[in-house]
Amino acid sequence: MVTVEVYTHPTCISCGDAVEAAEALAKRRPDVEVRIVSLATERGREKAKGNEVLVVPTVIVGTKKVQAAPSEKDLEEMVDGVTG
Amino acid sequence: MTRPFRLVNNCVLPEDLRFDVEEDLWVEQEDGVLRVGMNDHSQTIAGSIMHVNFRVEPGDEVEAESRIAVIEAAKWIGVVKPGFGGEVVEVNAELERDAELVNRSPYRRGWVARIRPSDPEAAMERFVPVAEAEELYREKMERMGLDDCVHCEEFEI
Repeated sequence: MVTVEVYTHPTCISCGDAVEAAEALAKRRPDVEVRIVSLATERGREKAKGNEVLVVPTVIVGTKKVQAAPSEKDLEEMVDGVTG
Repeated sequence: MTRPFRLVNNCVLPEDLRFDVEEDLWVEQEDGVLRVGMNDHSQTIAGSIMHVNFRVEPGDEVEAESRIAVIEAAKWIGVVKPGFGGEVVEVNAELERDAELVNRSPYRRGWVARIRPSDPEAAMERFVPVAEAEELYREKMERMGLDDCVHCEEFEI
């Protein structure tokens, strides 16, 4: 199972796009799970700090980090980069 | 290349700037002129900025409490006051076309105004170096219960 972590914040407009792309991919790919990490929560902020996430949306798949809202296609490439 | 910075509750404080912690501004010295801008704290508090309306133009004399710009966001309005007196050398006209530049690039392209202080030494007294700003912000954010800073896509330091 590959985890797609999406770091978000309610005030960030393009965060919705990042979540949408991740959820669309997870719907198509049973080997993908999505984890939303909201920086509006204390726990989310701690996790973001631990992963050096300063900007939202940020998407992390394995060791790859993207500071943007990737398309579903780009996300799939990141996932395939992990699964090999 | 990212410039060195400190982090206080996810709020970025570049090490090469000085800060007015009370007014949430930064300043950079450039040959007798001070470039002033809103810092990460003020851009976060404002939220997505929709309009920047300048109340001054180059050549104007301003005082510490002069309103050099009015910042409008969806649910917030604030003013930028330099905290020192002097002559306005330049305002950042780009903000009239792209107000969100303050959110995306508060410390670079989102600067607000350049002012030649009438008393440079007195002007700089308001602005503390990053080590002191870091401590003052920790204390201020805890005392006031301020949320962590938020940086949206394309945020640059």
